[in-house]
Amino acid sequence: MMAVAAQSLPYISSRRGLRGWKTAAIFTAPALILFTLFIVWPVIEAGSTSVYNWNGLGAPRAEKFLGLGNFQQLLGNKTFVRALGNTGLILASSLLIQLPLALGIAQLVARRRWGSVAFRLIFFMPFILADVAAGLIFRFVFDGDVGLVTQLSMLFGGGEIHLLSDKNLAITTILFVATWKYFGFHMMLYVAGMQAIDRSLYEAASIDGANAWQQFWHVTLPGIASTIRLSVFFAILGCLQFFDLVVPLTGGGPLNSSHTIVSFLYYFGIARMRVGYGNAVGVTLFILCVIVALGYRRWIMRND
Amino acid sequence: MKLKLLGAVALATGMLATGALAQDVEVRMLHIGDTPAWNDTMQSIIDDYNASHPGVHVTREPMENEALRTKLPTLLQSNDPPDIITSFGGGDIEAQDEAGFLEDISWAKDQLLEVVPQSSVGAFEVHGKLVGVATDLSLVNLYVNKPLLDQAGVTLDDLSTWDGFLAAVQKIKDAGITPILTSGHDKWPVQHWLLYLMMREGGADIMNRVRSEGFAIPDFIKAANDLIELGQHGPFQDSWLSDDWLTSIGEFGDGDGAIYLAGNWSIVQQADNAADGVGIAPDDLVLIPFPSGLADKDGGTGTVGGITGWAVTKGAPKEAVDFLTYYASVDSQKRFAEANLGIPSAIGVEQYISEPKLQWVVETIGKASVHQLFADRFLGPSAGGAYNDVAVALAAGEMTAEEAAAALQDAWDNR
Repeated sequence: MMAVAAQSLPYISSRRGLRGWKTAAIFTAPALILFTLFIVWPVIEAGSTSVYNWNGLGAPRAEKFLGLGNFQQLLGNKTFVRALGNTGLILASSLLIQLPLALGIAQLVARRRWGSVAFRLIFFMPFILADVAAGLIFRFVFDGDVGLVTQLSMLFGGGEIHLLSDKNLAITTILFVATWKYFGFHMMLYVAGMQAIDRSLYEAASIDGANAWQQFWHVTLPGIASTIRLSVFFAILGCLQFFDLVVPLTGGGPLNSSHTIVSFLYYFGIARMRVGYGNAVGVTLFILCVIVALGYRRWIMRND
Repeated sequence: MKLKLLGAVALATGMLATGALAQDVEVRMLHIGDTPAWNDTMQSIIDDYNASHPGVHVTREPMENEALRTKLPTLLQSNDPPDIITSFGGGDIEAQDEAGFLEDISWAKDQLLEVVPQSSVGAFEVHGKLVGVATDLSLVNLYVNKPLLDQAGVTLDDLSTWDGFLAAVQKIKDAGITPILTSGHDKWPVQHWLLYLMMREGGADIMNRVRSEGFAIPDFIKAANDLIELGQHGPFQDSWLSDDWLTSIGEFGDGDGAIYLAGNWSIVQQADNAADGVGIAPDDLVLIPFPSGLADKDGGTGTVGGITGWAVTKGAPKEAVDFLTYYASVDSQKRFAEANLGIPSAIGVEQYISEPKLQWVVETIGKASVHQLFADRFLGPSAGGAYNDVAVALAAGEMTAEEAAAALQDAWDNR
């Protein structure tokens, strides 16, 4: 009897295992199908057409196969190299200006005191505004003829200021608008993180004689470390995909000086009907994003 | 009871069948339509056609230019593309036809030639077949604010030769007036300068020559250097690199600059986009040809302009071509002419053009040694985009003529 029971055990466990697999397949199938349809398939499509000189009309033709030709052209394209540099600049300004600013303001408005809720809302409002609308508003603000900046300059006896016409300054205006637009989002993340810190830690620190700076450094920062890591993660991916503000504000100009990777993809790939070339940009960007996302999660967010 | 039921079924089936027979053939148009008056005129023509052609129902969907350009490739590859699309001919229809998206309507050539001239049909012949028809012409030339010219002590004659033009630009600038307005943001208004200079330096077939012989030919280099020389005078408004087309033509309407090299659509646009909505008074706005006095291999009379027409997509019903013939005819196109909405190409439409400036445009095109299609359209979207980039870079002094030739060659080879 014992022998029979022992013999039947693997059979029972394999049946259970099979049933488990079936259940898993049934429950994961919808998500898997959607993921394949909307993520995996487009990536495969983009990858397979990025090796052709293809205008997006009809199927890519064999005689237009370029191999890695599109990628080689990309690296030799001064505008693309500049777009890479601009994307890096946006990332640097995000990490060095936008996020510290958001952290500082979060520290000011996180605690419940008079006006803090109102200020949180005010600082968060630019993020609610559509990117295109924000871009258009600042296009008027920086208009060299009638914009607010020029008006202020003239009020103080200066002349017209054509920031958007200057190939060396146009990207700076984009950095400014991006900081204004997105710091509120990161501020809100930090506020949420700060409010989750146990108040008794501050009381204990206070009793131990810690001043405000020491409390911030030794209690607040460690308390929101995982939030900061998440915020940096969002900022990096957002910068790599930065596009919506560029189009209404500068359109990548003047003289193609303010393109980002994605605006380069749109203007030089899609609008010019060089879809294969555009897909080469897309694949490059995808690889960058995957490396950054996996690397960041592996090494920076491994404990979160 | 059974008989009654059978009768009802038969009646219902009969009604369904009749309904199917009576169903209209639908012809769908997708077009650029960002001017209300133009859209209204087009709709009135469609309404009349639908009323007089039972069994056919034409519909239209207007879109903004850039939106249509980006949406079209996807639409053409769908199972349900529009039957007729706005087209500017040139490289666009070459690419669309190579991909098999356009219908061969060569069978309708004779009926179309009864309503439009050969040039309107010829503009839509690619790879030995007819795929559409042009219904509208445009001309690019100098638009001059005469009072500003007077203020600077410059006469219209001064602008007739290139050397005189450059001297006049300096004189206007010295008088504290912006000599030339343009848009380096949208770029295409700057390409007209390079194209005109190419024609003057290289002749009527210069665009075909750069395509076959390469952009580094001496005539292109000369033209590019001419544009660099113009740019060295600092002739444009301070914000020209960031001003879009509508802003810059509005500034021209406001009297912020003396000259604009623009198409005949600017007559309306300079007024519509001026701060006062009125623009330059009709008598103060003068149209003159682009300067000659360079090599003048085009006889000094070549003109730059566009054609706007319609391409018929693969699988479109024959009724689509029937409607296009109706639409292109003088009876329909005179409505655009009478409303000063461009220059239709229909045979016999001249008598309906009453606006003197548009009459001048028609005469100038008629006298031209060649009427060259816009370079960015002629070269197709990829090399055309590069052409616009290069034109702006040359005018801004950011590129040498040789670098421009190399950049265009690269774009053309990899189009």
